[in-house]
Order: sequence, then C-alpha cells, then structure tokens
Amino acid sequence: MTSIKPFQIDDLFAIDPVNLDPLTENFNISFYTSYLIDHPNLFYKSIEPNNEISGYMMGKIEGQLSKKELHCHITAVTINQEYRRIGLASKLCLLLETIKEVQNTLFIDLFVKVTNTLGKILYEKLGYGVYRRVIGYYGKEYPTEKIPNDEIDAFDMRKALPMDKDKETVRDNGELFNVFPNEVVF
Amino acid sequence: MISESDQEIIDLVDRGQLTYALSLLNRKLTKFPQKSLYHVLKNKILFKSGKEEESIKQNVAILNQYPSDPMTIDILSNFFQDLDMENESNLAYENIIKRFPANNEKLAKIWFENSIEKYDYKLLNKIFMYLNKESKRDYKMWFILSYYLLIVYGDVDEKSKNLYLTLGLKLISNLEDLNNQEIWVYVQFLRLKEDYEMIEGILSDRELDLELQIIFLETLKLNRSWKKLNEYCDKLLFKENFDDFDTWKLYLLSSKELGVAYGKLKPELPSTRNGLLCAIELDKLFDKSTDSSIETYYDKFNNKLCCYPDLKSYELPSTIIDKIKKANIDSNLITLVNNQKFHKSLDNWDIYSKFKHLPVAEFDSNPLNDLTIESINDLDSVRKVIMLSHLLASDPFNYKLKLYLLQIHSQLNSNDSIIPIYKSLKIKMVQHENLSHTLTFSTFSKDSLSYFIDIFRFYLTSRQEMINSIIDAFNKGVYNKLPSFIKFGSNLKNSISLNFTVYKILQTTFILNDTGYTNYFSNYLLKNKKLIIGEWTDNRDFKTANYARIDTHDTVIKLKLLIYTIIFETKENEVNKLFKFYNKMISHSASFTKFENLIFKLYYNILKIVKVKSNQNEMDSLLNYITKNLKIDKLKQQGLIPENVLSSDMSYNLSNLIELIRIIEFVNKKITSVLRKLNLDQLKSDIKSLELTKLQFDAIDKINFEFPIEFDFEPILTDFKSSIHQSISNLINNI
Repeated sequence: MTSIKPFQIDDLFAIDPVNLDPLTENFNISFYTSYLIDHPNLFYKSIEPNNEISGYMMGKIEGQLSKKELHCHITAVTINQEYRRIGLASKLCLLLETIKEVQNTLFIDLFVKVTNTLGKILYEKLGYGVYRRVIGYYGKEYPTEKIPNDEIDAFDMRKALPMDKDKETVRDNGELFNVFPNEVVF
Repeated sequence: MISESDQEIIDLVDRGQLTYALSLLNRKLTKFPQKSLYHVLKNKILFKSGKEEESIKQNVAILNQYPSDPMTIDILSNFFQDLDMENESNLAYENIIKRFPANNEKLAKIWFENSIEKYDYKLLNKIFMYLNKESKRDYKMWFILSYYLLIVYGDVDEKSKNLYLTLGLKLISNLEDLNNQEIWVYVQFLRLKEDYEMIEGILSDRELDLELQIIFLETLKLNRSWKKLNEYCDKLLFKENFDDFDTWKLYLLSSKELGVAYGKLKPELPSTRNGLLCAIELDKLFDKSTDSSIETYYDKFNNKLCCYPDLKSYELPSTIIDKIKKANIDSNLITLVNNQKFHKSLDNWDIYSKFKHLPVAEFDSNPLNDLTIESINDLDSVRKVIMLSHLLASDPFNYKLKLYLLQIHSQLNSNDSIIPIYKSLKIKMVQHENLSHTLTFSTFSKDSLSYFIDIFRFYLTSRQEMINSIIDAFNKGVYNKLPSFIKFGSNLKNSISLNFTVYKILQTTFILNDTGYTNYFSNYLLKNKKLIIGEWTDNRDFKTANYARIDTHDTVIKLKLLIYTIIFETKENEVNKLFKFYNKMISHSASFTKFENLIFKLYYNILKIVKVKSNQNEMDSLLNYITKNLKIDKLKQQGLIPENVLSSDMSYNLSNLIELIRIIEFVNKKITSVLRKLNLDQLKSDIKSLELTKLQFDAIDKINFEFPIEFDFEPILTDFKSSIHQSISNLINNI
C-alpha cells in the first residue's frame, strides 16, 4: 500500500531501515539539501502505513541541450529490503518520467555496478540500456588504463525520452564503450 | 573588504594569542584612533583577559556610537551574543539599519545569515521586515514566510498567532502571478485559517507539483467536492498512471459519495499490490466482509516480504489461518517467514534447519533470520550474543542482527565488541544522530576516543551545512522545504546524541587521562552552557530493529556535562547558577540506582568544596562524607558490583567511579589541592584487586550452553570472554 510523498530533510531521521542497506550510500547533509533545493520535485519517497518510509528517489537535471546532453540523472533509488521484489524501484523510476522537468530532457541515466546483475535486469525491463562502461567508477584510485574490472566498474545506463525523437542519446552494444570517470561528468 | 593585517589581528584574538594581537592593535590604534573595529577588538582582548565589566562597558559605549562597518558590527554583535546580551547583539545591526537606510539591504542580509542558527523566528521576522523595505519580491516572500514560521514554530500566544495570520495573508494576497512555491506559502496560511474553499479555488486549474497535488486532494475531500475529487483522482490514476494508495482511497471514497456501486468499482481495481489492498479498503468502505479480498492479496503476495506488514493491521480470515496452519515446510521460504510472523511463532528452528543453506542475493539479508531473532528471545543475554554472532557469520549484511547484537552487548560487559559492530554497519553522517546511542556502553580506548571525535566532527560540519542550506533555500525561493530545513537544523543543534557524543569524549579523555582534547571541550562546554542546561531534542531511532532497548542514561549524561561545565567554569556567579541547576536536577531525579545516587552525592560534595564558597566547618563535613564513602567496602555496599555480575551495570558503575577519581585528580592538579587528603591510591589498589573479570568468567562457566541448534559455539564464547576481559582491562589499567 504504497503512497508517494515529497522527501523532506527531516526524513533522514527516519530512513535507517532503507539506508542501513550495505549498498545504499549515506551522504553529508548538504548533499541531500542541495537536491532538495535545486531539484525538489525529483526527490521523493514511498511510504507505507504508519508513514514508514519504504524507499526513495533522488534525481537531478544536468547537462546542456546544445551538446545533446540535457538529461535527468538518477543519483539514488533505494528500497527497504522488506519491500523489495514487488516493483517498487520500477515504480519510483517510472514516476520520474511523468515529471514535467524530466520530460523536458533528452534521456534519463544512472550508474549500476557491473556485478549488480539484478539491478541491470530491472533497468533493462524499464527500457534502459547500457550506454558505456565507466572504468574504475567505484574504485578507490583513479584508473590510468581502460582495463575492465567487474568489481569496480559501472555501467552507465540510459533511457531515451520522447524529447530525443531520433534516439541519438542511446546506442546498442554500449558495454563495449569504455570510458574514464571524468568522461561522465556533465 | 578587510585588510590582511586586520584579518591577522582578528585571527590572533580568536586563537587566544592576546599579547601579540594587542601589540599589533596598539600600533593600529596609534595610526587610526577613530576606527571602531580596533576598539571592539581591543575590548574583546580585554574580555578574554578577564576584564569583563570594563570590556562590556566600553562595547556598550561603542554600540551607542553606531559603528557602521560590517566587520565591527559582526564582532560587536557576537561579543554581546556570547554574553547572552541578545538585545545589544541585535541592536548592533538594527541601530545602523534604522539610521542609515541606504545600508539596509546588505547589512540586514548579513544580520539574517548570522542569526539563522538562533532559530529565533521573531528575530527572523524583524530582519525580514527591514529587508522588505527594499520592495523586492523575494524579500516580501521571506517576510511573509517568517509569519508562517512564527505561527507554526514560534513561542507565541493565540492572539499573536491570529494577528500574524492576518498579516501574512494580507501581504501574500496582494501579490500577483504566484509561482508554485509562492502558492505553497499562500496555501499554508489558508490551511491555518481553515479556508479550504479558497484553497480549492486557487489550486484548481493549475499545474501542480507533488506537494500541491497532495494538498489539493486533501482539500477536495475536506470540502466534500466529490465530483471534482473523483475527476482529479481519475486523471492521476488512469491517465497519468500515478499508482498511489492514498489517491486510490480518495478515488473510492469520492466514487461512493457520487453513488457509484461497489460492483462497478471492484473491477476497476488492478491486480497490483496497491490495487489488491485497495480492494480490502473498498470492502471496508462499503461495510462488506474483507475476507475474500484479504485472501486474494495473500494468495498473490504470500511469497513477498511485504505480505506481513501489509496485512498485519487487518483481521485475517479463518481461511488464511487454515492455510498458514496447513502450510508445510516444503513451502517457499518467504511464505513460511510470513506465516510464522502472522502466527507469532517462536519455534522456527525446523525452518531454519531446512533453509539455512539456501543462498540469498549478494548483500541481501537472509529473511530466515527475521524468524531466528524471534526464536532466541527466551535465551539469556550471553547465549543470545553467541547465537546472534553465529547467525551473523552466515548473514554478514543483516543490519537487524547487528543492531540486536549491539543491544545485547549493551546489557553485558563485552563493551569492547560494540564499536566494531557499529562500524561494520557503515554508519555515517546523520545516521550517527539516529543510532549513536547504541554506543552508550562502548569501551574506553584511544580508538574509541578517536571514533567519537569523528562523530563530533559530523556535528561541526552539519551545523554549518544547515545554515548554508537555509540561506540557499531562501535565496532560491524553495519555500516548501524551508520549514523542515529549519526544524531539522534546530533539532540537530542541541540533540541528545550530540550531547552524548560530547560526554563520551570527555568521559573517555578523563578515564584515559588523555588531556589532548580537554582544552577544546572545556571551551565548548563554557560556550554552550545555555544549550547544556536547556531542552535537548531527541531524534534517536528506537524503532528500527529495537529488540532490547538500551538504557541510555540521558539524565546522567546531562548531569555529568553539568559537572564538567562547573569544574571548567571560573566565574563565581556562573558556577553558582550551574550548581543550583545541578541541585535541582538531582533532587528531581527519582530514577537513580543506589550507586548513581552515591556518585552524584559525592560530586555534590566535591563541587561544593571546590567551586562553591563554604565555611570551614561545612568544608570539613563535606570532606568527611567523601572520605567515608570513597572506600571500596562502602562502594560495594552501594552496589558497585551488581548482583548479576554479567550485567553491564558492572562496567557502567566502574567507569563512573574511575571518572570520579580522575575528576578529583584533575581538580587537585588544576584547581585546588584541598582534596589531596583523600586516599585515592588505596582506592585504586582496591579496585584493581576486585578480580572483576574472574567473577564474570565464573558466572559464565555456570551457564548451561544449550542451544536450539547445534554448532560449535566455543570460538564465539572465547571471543566473548576475551571482549569482557579487554573491556574491564581498559578500565582497570587506566587507574
């Protein structure tokens, strides 16, 4: 019985069951507030009875239209383990596509760890495809060579939006395009 | 712009290098005798050198000369602020703003930015009133929003609330072409006025963001505008695919009110989770039996973990109870987990045995342990630790097991195990605010001290981050996030978790005799006295995986911080004020243990001798009391060693005692030698001879280590004993 509500900063006091997940990143406070200030409509939560937060979406708009890079980036979409495998993450992702600010961009993108097969499948079902492989994205040191390493590499996955009529911002066989982390900064 | 040489003097004064700062300042004053900045800096040096009255008198005189340089105003305002002279602190800005309206905007903005952390809504309102004179739309909105903040968070009476409501509404209704953020503010005032007709009018035919959409739905329901509500829900649910449970419920309600029949509505509900749960709500709405809908949901979702939380508030039909009873061990694991939860079964070991080797996705917790956690509730704490550690070995990312383990270690003396488990949860940033209370019983070591310092750094950073975020949100006109920003910042400013962290640092530095941080934290306490004795906010998470609530000793922490503040305070009148507060607190606290009671009486006597003026007879009698009670036999009589030697009261009492000894030693060294007569060496030697570890090991050896499942528990038991040994050693070796 999920309802969608805007995220507020004091929700940080109530998201331990979501953020204690080992793969969910915890950021400093100004990181969250910057999303709430600059992209208030792209930061929302799913709640269950008793206002229990079951998950949330953090997104932002970045890139320039002139460079055909204007897009919505999903920074975090995460779900409390008790509410997984019922399509809640998909629901939060699909909701993003209905927001006007997002519809005015060319594509949505996100990063997923190469070894996160379940995550990759989920996004593929939603229409995302691998655009490129980011070498050493999750590594502690900056990579010097484009040698793939499943443990620290990420797939940059994209879904073209109706604004990109000719599907110029996506491609097939994206797994074969290796880039350094600095090449995915907008 | 401030010159480099002026900045150097300011930095020197802040760092306490007063002599050098004064010599540079005197040179400046010879050249520029009229420059008020140098005079306020000189007064700051005077103040820091102990000439308080003189410095205050001179700064009041400067205040009356209306200095207009922003840096002088800032230093002057902060000077009065630190002395709790709120009025003078504000007048530093207000005088100039009134006198020189041309400077209004720049100065009022600085005043605003410097005042945010006070979370004083009346002051914000006053500052925005001055800014509003600039006739800029943003400032008008700030001024309007401040009326809302005053009504909602300010400490104001009903009459004032009504006045602010009228003023706020009047101001905003004069604005045209409101954007969604401004509309949000307008609507907040109308909600306070309960003018839902007006809200409906304003929000109709607008493109709404999620915030306003929710308000609009709620408003239509309150106005019983069923047709409009129905149409709006229809648009959201069926045209925009906004699959939202609350919206579904409003759709069903409005449909019923419009006379739509149950039979027509039921087929409209999709067979999604929300749809099936709405079917149950639909039954309730039409006073029909929910059995069939609950069963339909159960049949589809019994193999999902959401099944239990989704259905637990409904009464399960007998058909499902039968299904649960009949379900055999060959069912799907998640189904069995849900069934056992519905059944509230404590015996889950057959299921555990069958499924313990079933792999789960990497980084996922094993749902099986939702059941084992329930099944170990009857065990004693030592066996719980062993069981939980065993289960965790094969389920290393299960935060529920880890939190439970932290709670159980907190009931025992295995304090040494606490921080490693906490760290393994990768707790960061604001999570410390929510969960650091699980470190209440953590051990006293260099590592733990450095960990608490790291936690404290989060508070230092977040304090500034919130100020910057609030300024940014005002500047960008994100009004619908500002009330929660302000509430959050204010809640974080003086929270129990922050004060707990400060206390843990002080207690650890004293127990370890590590003086590296004493100076910083004594200054911190003196600067934050008002906060220490004020109300603390509580943002701690006692809901998540709370199987055995930790006794966090909140009152004790407050009293201890008060004791440290009194010890560090040098001003007699301040000491007297704080001591009065201490007395009031101990006389109103009925929940102390016998041992805590003794400790706080001893502190009372120590403080009275050392910090509060007493006559010789009284001093003798106070010292006699300490001498008589600070003996091992007396301390044992008062419960130093708890009846259950395995209880965490053991290390808790011991740490309190060692901390007391250290404070006496600190006082002897730094304040007065009057307590030197106490024979602390004898006491220390007696504590060392207590053989507390042996007492505990003997108690552990008497435990019958039977477990509901078979496994090799010896290695875990060895680690557990070693943790007890280390925790007690960490204390004993430091005396």
